[in-house]
Formats: sequence, structure tokens, C-alpha cells
Amino acid sequence: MSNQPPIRCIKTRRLSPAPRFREMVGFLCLVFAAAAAAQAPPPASPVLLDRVVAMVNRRVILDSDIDNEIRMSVLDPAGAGQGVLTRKRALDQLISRALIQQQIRREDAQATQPSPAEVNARLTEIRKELPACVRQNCASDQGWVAFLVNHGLTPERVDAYLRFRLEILRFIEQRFRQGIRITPQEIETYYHDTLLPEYAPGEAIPPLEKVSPRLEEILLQQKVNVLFEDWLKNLRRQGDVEVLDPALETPETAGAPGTAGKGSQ
Amino acid sequence: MRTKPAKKCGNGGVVVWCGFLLACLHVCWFSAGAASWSQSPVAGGAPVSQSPPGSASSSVSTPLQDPAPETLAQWEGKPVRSISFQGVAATRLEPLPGRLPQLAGTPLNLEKLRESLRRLFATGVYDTIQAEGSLDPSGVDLIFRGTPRTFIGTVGVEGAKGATVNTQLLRAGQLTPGTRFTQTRLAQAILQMRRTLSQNGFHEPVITQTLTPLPEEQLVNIAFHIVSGPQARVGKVDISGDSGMSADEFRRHAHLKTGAHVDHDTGNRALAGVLKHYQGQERLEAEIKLESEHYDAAGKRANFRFSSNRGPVVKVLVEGASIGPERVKRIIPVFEEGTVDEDLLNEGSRRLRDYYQRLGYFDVKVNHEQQSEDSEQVVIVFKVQQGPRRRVERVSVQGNHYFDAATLKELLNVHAADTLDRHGAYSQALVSADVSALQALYRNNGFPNTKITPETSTPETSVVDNRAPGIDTAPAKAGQRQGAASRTAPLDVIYRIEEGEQQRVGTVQIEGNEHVDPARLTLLLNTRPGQLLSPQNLAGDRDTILTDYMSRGFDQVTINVVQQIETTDANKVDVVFHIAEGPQLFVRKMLVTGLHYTRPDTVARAITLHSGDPLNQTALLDTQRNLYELALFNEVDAAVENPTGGETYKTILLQAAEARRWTLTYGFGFEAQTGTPQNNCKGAIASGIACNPNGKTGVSPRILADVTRNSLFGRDQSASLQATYGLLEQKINLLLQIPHFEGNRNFGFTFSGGYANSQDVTTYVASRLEGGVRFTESFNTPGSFFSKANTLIYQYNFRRVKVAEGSLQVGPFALTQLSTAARVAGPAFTWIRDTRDSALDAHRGTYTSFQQFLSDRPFGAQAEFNRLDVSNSSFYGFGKDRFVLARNTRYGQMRAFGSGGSDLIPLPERLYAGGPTSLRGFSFNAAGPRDPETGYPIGGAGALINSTELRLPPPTLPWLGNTVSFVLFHDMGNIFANASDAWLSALRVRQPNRGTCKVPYVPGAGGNPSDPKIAPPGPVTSTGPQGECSFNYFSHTPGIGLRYHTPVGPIRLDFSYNLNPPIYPVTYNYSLVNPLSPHVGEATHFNFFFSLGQSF
Repeated sequence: MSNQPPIRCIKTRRLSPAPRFREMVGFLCLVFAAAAAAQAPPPASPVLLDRVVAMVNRRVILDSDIDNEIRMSVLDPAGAGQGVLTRKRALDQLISRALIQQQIRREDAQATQPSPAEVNARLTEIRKELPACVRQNCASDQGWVAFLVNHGLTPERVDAYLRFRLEILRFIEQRFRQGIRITPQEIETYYHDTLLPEYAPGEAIPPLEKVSPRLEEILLQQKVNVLFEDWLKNLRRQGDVEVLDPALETPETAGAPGTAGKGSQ
Repeated sequence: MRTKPAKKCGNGGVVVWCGFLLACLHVCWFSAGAASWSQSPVAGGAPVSQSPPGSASSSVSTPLQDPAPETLAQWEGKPVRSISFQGVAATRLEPLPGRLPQLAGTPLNLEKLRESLRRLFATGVYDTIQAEGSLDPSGVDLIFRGTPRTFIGTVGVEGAKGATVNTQLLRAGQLTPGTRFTQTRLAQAILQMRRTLSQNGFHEPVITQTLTPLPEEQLVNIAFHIVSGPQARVGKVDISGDSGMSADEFRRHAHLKTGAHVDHDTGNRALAGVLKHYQGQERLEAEIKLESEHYDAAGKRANFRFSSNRGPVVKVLVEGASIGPERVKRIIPVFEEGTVDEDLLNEGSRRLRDYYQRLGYFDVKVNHEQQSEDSEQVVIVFKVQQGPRRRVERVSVQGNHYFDAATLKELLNVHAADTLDRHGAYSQALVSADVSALQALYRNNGFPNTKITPETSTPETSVVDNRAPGIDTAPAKAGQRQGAASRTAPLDVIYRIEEGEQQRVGTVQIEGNEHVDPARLTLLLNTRPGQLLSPQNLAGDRDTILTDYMSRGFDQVTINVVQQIETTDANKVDVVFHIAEGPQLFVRKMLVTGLHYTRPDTVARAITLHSGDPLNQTALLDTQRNLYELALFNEVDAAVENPTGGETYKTILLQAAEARRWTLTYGFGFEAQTGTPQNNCKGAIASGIACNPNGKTGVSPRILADVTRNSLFGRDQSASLQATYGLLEQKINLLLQIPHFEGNRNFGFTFSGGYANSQDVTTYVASRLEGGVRFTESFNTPGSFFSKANTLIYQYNFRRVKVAEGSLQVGPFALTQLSTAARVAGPAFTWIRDTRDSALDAHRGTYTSFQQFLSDRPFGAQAEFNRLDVSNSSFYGFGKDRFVLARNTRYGQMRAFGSGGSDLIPLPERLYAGGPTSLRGFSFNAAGPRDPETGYPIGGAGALINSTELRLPPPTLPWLGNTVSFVLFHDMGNIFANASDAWLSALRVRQPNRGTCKVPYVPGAGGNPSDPKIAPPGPVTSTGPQGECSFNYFSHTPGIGLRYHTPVGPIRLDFSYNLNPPIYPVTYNYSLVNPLSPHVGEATHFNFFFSLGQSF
């Protein structure tokens, strides 16, 4: 859009100049306007600032949300082993998170909200133990600030991110873990079929009674994972998930019933 | 062009290039879409076959630059000079552009920009949207550029074979008007339509669709054209499993005849047919399934594959009590459902228990068990322990203070035995219902903690029960008690009530109302401080506020009612109505489609919602109702465009399907009764049948036809030609009807004209050439002077009436005068007030009509008279509306004036009574004065009639169920020669001066019949000279009626017995060869009538 000052040629009838003079004034106006136009900088080309890339049950995910998710991924110790977080994977995570969050709100799960102390504890833990953070001496306030600046993060965003992650973990705990019972039979089967083959011949094998609580926890986690995965798949299947940019579609989002082009109303 | 910081896409240059490439592809894809959608020459509204309007389309037309990240960061805080919207016009987004977080003239804030994007997308009008910006030293220009979303406009299906297949396809497609259109939805719709067509036997259909985009409204109209192709015929039928029958038998029971057409019922009909066969063999556990239906395209045949297992024979036995096998089949639901499962068996036990409890076995216990004797037979045994047969002796309530016992007993279902119900009513279910009803009553009157404890008294011994029910039991003598328990033992039912503390309303507050004046909302509330705390009132108030908000366009409003006990007074409860208003929606435009013949201005009058109005769902329903009331449309569907989107202004789609403009209706009817008027007495004589004044017992059939042109001149008006042809009536009538005169809903206009030839009475056949105009005024507008129950009718009638001389059965004196044609003309006024709950079968309310007609020379009349006819009916339901006491009283009076022959009221204009809808003691119109020489009824100038009916509840009868009920009635009154005689005759139950009626009047001097044209000796009235025999008394007729209830009203059969029918002298009988035949005639005592509808 041009930002040139307006050029106006003012004529007054009262002076009633001769026709020749009027022509000359008109000509000069035109020349002046042309010169001004030639000297003005060309109109700036528009640039893309942000855009909607996906919709999850009427909740919008923006391109900038993906950017934030990628920046935040440095705080995720589990993601470190999976290489660089691609935009596709980041969007997939955002979609899952949005679905879970909507479910938490729908079930009005007030009890899942973590206290500030819990968030701070988790933050402290990250600052001490996250490898990327340890390298930059995050345990010190100075190092932590530098770490945040380097990764384009702010303390508020980190706080919100950790708060939400804790909320999800607690929700999963409440929803799935409480109903699961591990029988002694299952523990024994796991001990014999899975744990014992891991030990080399001659290696000292811990007795079942000693490892039983730990095995129970492992089995519990496995069952929670299975239930959670199924639940999440169902949410995706039943929900209205639409990825607007085909380049960001994953098999999960492409297969969902509400994906691009499919009726959502 | 779009660039991203390298770290967003990866760490290497290749990845950056990848991001760039993807972005470029993305932009190119959108650009192509823009060309095909928004710039297409057909986008202006021309139909496009197979065009994809919802597919890739965009307004993005220029490649974009991506700012370097550091540059983008530098943009933050720069002033935003302008914001523009591309793809969707800013006007459509109103008022959102002025309310976005990021506004022009404020510094650019990326968070606000993100929120603005979210809000814009939430309107639902975009398929995609992005924010663009261009920066120069003086600031940033922002552009929100998006692809407009397309919504479904009208959807039509035509061309499919079969009466309802087009409608089935429309439903199967699930393309709901107003919702989002996508190519995927279109493809799914076509797939569903193909499935539906296959189910109807059409496996090779061709479906084409025409899409007509309306870009300005972001709509696309969809029209499907179906070529059904050949319809499949039944081919092979394969059966697997133990069906117990041959393939031919299976086909026969499944109604699968080879070569028969396949339709959507074929499969279900086959399953039902075979299942019915198995049920007939008591194989209630039979399983049959349609495994597959395969279409053989070469032979155009559908081949079916069924699995069928007949299962064992199921025997149901009831032990411990006597019950017939037919009743067992009616009570135990396994027979009705055709299957056996535990739920149905439990239900069977419950029903058996209820059945025996109705018979007085209140302590009955029923359980069941299933015994499998072998694979061929299962026996289900219901074991009944009846216990003693009892009667509910007394039902009482105790502990009640706030309500009296009578009020509470009104609510109870359990009741004591009485003369009509020998055992009373008692069961656990009834007691539970009573406890709930009592608790609800107390709760709604401020007693939230009321406890109701039902108790039954079970005396150790019982009494022989010969006492009248309801009388309190005195201690019975021990001797009387012995040996009586086997009959009926008494049972007392007591409801003990602990009322608890009564709570009242403390304060009432309304919170959260930002758009509605709290004073106005408070006025709507029934709940007031100090009032009894009533959950019913609170729920009603909540609904009232909700309705008020909905009518203002707040369709997402929620109201939460919170009750808080006051800390200072535990019996006071503060009430707060918390309102979450949500967004207010308005109407952008009303789009009416489907008008081919109807004028838009006709429809416009019916539309109560207009652009800019709040989106009032009630007004939308009113609009639909108004459109239906025009009687121009078969269907009117209303839909909101983009219903789930966050737009403030919504477009309303009204899709109308016009009704046929020509309708032809025809029918057949008949009445059967005693006293049917006879036609053509002379012909009857020739065939040896005698005519007599009381008519004959017979049937009068008729056929009816009606041709109507609806939507005359595109307006809600119609013209009809109606014809009736029957033994007693031949009529043709032209009718022009304008139900909403000049668009006014309260005024209707009717013009009618025609010719009729009818015999409403045994005395004559009358012809009538008539015409008239009628204005009807109703009061539908709120705040009208009269209530909606009232209707006023203003008429002008003109008719020429003539009695056929050959048919006239009066003495020679009056013959010429009464058979002369006469013009009757003048204004009429009618007032109707109708408060009945149902016009066909009223249970409460009243119906009053007042009619005044003046026939006078200034209006073109020859006969000058005045007629007043007033009728009032009242209906009173009692016994929970099972009984209805109905009453109808009619008073009519006529008075002739003028001179020179114009002062005689023509025969067809007189007042008559008698027949199925008036005085059932007489045959049709046979009450009142009779001709002094022939004894035929001649009508009168006064009428006073009262009918009273007790309409009884329908008993349960074999075969007929509850469809038949009975009526006891009493009719009294008569028709009088003078109106002034009516009231004086009300207390007279015997015909006065009966002796004079026994002397036939013989005209002429000295009884010489050769000079018959001498007036009879009685008084001269408006209906001419009378004889000496008087009819001034009240006839009384009791009777019994039977009503067979149908959806169009009851079919009626009435039997009546006239306690005091009149006698009358007869001098001439024209059905004899020698007419002079003096004798005394008498109206019949017994009459019956068969017709439709209640008598009044």
C-alpha cells in the first residue's frame, strides 16, 4: 500500500488566469506528481505473519503455535531421543493435547490442576536434570535466563507449559490408573516370561518377592499406556479434527473422520 | 513467498528449501482455487454441473515474502496503519472488525494478532485464513486474507422411481441446509443415496448433481437428478442353518416370489414373515438373519442368502392360578416380541402380578423359571402365589396438617372398593406413584423434607364382606370372622406423613444479565420473597427467563438457579438466578426459496423475522406456522446458515415446497336412521310402498366431489367447485375463499353461490338457488378486544327457495301458498365463542353461537322475517377426565312481518328439530307442529331444546379394546308454532288437549271434503294457520349411545326412546289412491341414528 502524500492541484476561479497560464499550471502539476511518484519507494510486498493450520473441535491451531511447540520441545526430556521435532509431529502433539485439554474441561476435572509449588518443583527438576539445560548451567538464575533467551522462550510460557503437562499427567492418573488392578498371577508371569530372560546365565537373579512392587508398577504403566492410547484414538476418531495444510497432515490426522474436506457440521 | 527461520524447519539448508518449496506449492494451490471459484464466470449464480465450489479455493493471489525472524520481531510495536479483509467482506464479519484485539491505530502485538486470527476463524465463514502484513517506515498495513467457506443452500432430489424414494434419498444424503458444504460430504451423500437406491431394488442408478453457487451468500444449491435404472427382481434364495422347512416353504413364508420386484421392505418383510411362521409354532427363540443380498447385473436379479435356526418350541405355563391361554399370550410379552430373554420374562412376571393385583390378590407373588427339557422344547413356568383375595377397605392419610385429607386423596391412585370396583386398586407400583405424587405436592409447597411412609394393615382374620365399602370397620364379632378369609379380606392403606419444616423464599436475585433490564426479568418471575419455596415455580421461572433470552437471540444462554439457606433463619432460602447470556445473534437476511407460483409479497406477510432483528427461534417457528397456514406449501423448512459459527448476524434459509395447485377430493358417505325422509311418494305408491309422516327406516347414501384451485393468482386464496349427490340432497356450489383478506390474519372473505335440491324433512323437497358473501373476523392478535376464542361473522345472503309442489305433503288449503317460490335476502350476523379443548371430542370448555338473520324487502327479499338462533354447549370432565358431562341448549325464534303473503315464513326457512344432532326423540326434523290435514311436520317459529349427555370412559372389550365407549343421554324440548309458546311449555310433559288431536279435521262446510280450501280452525301464526291440535309441550327422550373412536372423531350409534311422543290428526294420505283417510297418527317412541362425530 502506497504511503505517498496526496498531491492536489488547486485552482481558483477568482483569479481567472489566462487559458495558457492554466495549461501551464496543469502541466507542472502533472510533472510534479509524476516526479513524486518516481521518487517514492516501491510498495512493500506483504509477508505472511501467521495462519490457521488446523482446527480441533472448533479450537484453532496456528502456525505460530507450531513454532512455540518446537521451541518448547527443548524442555521435553522424552523427546530428546526422537531427533528434531518436525512441524508435522509438533502439530500432531498439539492436536492430541487440545483433545485431552477439551476432555479435561468437559469433565470439569478441577482436582487435576497442579499447585504453583508443584509447578516450581518440576521446574527446578528440569533446570537440574535436563541435559541441554545442565550444559548451560540452568541451575543458576543467570544460566536459566540465558537458556530461555537462546531458545526464544519466556518464563511465563515455560510456566504455562509445565502447568499443563502436570495437569495432563494427573488427569491420566485419575482417569486410567485408579481402575487398574494387577494380579499376582500377572506379576509372576511377567517375572518369568519377561524379566528372567534378560539375565545372563549365572547372573544373580533377584527373587520375585523383592522385585514384585517394581514389576507391578511396570505392568500398571503398560496398562495405563494401552488404555490411554485407545482413549486418545477414540477422541481423534469421534472429534472434529481438520488439518488445513495438506503438507502438515500425518496418517493419524488424514484418517480421522473430521479431517480436511470432510463434513464437520 | 514464505520464509521461515531455519530452526523452525530444520538445521540445514535443504530443510529450509523444503519449507520454502512446500509454502510455494501451498500458495500456488490456493491461487488456482481462487481462479476457479471466485473469478469463474459461472460463479454469479449460473448452475454448474459437477463443479466443486467447496474445493480448493482461495483469495490468496500474490506470492508472499516471509520476514526474517529478527525482522518480524522488529515489527512488534510498530503502529498498525490499516486493517483490511480479503476473501470475506468486512460487512459480513460485522461487528467483529471493530472488536478485534488487534485494531488499526494501535501498535502491532503478535499475541493480539494471533487472537484476532482465532476470532475471525471462529466465525465459521472461512475455510482458511492467514494474516499478512507490509511494513514501511510509517507503520504496518495488515491484511486478513481467507478463503470463504461454502454452506449448503437448498437440496432437491427428483427423478427417482417410487412414491417416497425421492424423500428417502433426501434424508439419506444428510445434506442439511445451512451447514458446511464440502466435496467429501457431497461424495458421501451420493454414496448413501446409492445405498438407499440399492435397498429399493435399484442397483444401477445414475445420479447427477447440479450445483448452483450463490457466492454473495456463500451458499450452494444442490439439485440431484436420479435415473433409477432397472428395478431388481427376486432371484435365488439360499438358506443355511436348521430352518425346518423346504426352500419353497421358506420362500412362501418370506413372501419372496421369484421375479417379484425388490423394494426397501423386501428384506424386512421376509424376516418378519418367517419369524411370524415360527411364532405360530411357538418357536419363540428362532433366529433368522439376512446374511447377504447380491445383485446379479446380468439377470437383473437380487439373490438373497438367509441363515435360519428355528430353535426349540417354547411353552409358557402359569402354575398356581387359573388363567386362560389367550390372556397369557396377551400378558406375557415374549409372544408379542417373538423372542425370549430375561428382561421380557421379568416384565411378564410384573404384568402377571399387576393382573392379579387388579383382581384383588394384592399379596400375589410371581416368579419364573426356565426348564429346557431337550433341544426341541423349552418350558417357561410362571409360578403364582396368589395369597388371599382382598379388597381395599379404606385408604387414609395421617399426619397431614398443611393440606386437608380430601386434597391429598385426590392425588392417590390406590383407592377403596366401591360399587363399580369390587376390590379397589392396590399394588406396589401404585403405592410408589402415590408416594411420589404426595412428595411432589409437599415439595412444591415449601416442604423439601416431607417423608411419606405407606403402611398396610393386615388383620389376622378377615370378615365376610357384605358391607358397603367406605364404611369404617367396627370390631367384628369373632364368630363372624371364622371361615371368611377365603372370600375377600379387608386391607387398609395408610399414608403416614411427616411434613417437616416449611421453607419460604428469602431474597430473589438475578445476576449476569448484561443485555436485559433486571426489572423486566423480575416481572417475569413467579417466585417472590416471602413466598413458599416451590421447585416447580423455580423451574418455571428459569424456563421463562430462558424463553425471554432465546426470543432476544441469545441461543446459548444458560441459567443456573442456586438456593442458599439463610444463616439467620433456616426456614428461609435465598434464590439466585445466575445467567450466562452468551453471544446475541441477529438476522442478516431471510432467504426464501422454492417459490414458483406464489407471489413473494404473499409470503412476506407471513414472515415475522426481518433483517436486523434478534434471531428469535419462537418467531422463526411462528414464521413457519404462518407459512403453513397459508395452505400453499407442503413443507416449509427453516435453517440457519453457518449454525455453529460465531457470526453475529446469521442468514436464515426458508425452503418452501409448494403444494399442488389443483386438488381433487371425493368421498362417499351415508347415514342410517329411523325417520329418513322419503322421496317421490307417488312413485312409492306405485310400487306399493306407503309414505307416512314419520319417514322410513333406511340409509341415505351420498357421494361428494370437490375440485379446488389453490394459490389462485399466486396468493393464499382458492376457488372450489363442490358437488354432492345423494338420495336426499343434490348440490353444486362454487366457493371463492380468501382466508387472510388483504393479508390480514384476522379477516377472511368467502363468496359462495350454487344450487341445491334437498329433502331435509319428510314433508317436501326444496330447491335453493343461492349466493352470498361472508366476512369472518377472528382475534388472533395479542391485545385484541376479544379473546382468541371469539369469532364474528358478517354475511349477506340471497336465495330463492322453492318447494316442489309434487312433493309437498300438506293439505289442499296451504298447498299453493307453500309451494310458491320466494326470495329470501338480507344480512346475518353470527358470534361464536369456542373454548373447547377439542372440537371433535371435547372434555372441557364451552361453545356458544348466536345467529341473527333478517330477511327484508330493502335487501331484495319477498319473504320478510327475522330469525334468532342461540345455542350453548358446555363440557365438564371429571374423574380425571374419564367422564364428561356435556350439555347443549338451543333457543330459536322467528317472526314474520310485512303483508300480502310476505308474512308467511317459507317452509325451508323455518325452525326444525329432530334427528341425530338435535332432539333424538324424533326422526329427522320431525319435531313440533304438523300440518293439520296430513300430519307431516311443517316446522315452527320457536325452538327450545336441551340435551344432556354423560360420556362414559371406554371399557376394555374383547376384540375392540378401548376403542368403544358409551353415552347416556336425555334430550328434551320441542319446536313451537310461536316462539312465545316455548318457555311456557317447558314444564309441560304431556301434549295438551290430546283429545283435539284425536279428531281429524275435515275441511269444508259440514265436513264436506269437496271444498278443501278453507283454512284450518286453529290460530294463524308466522308459519300459517294451525289446526286445533297443540304441540306446546316438552318431549322427553332418554337414550344410550355407542361411540367408536377413530382419529377423525367418533362414529356414533344412538338409540333413543321418546317417553311422550305426540299424536296428530291425519285427514289426507297422499300415498293412497283415495287420499281422504281420516285417522290419528303418532310419532314413534323408538329411534336410532348412525352418523359421525359427537351429537354436539
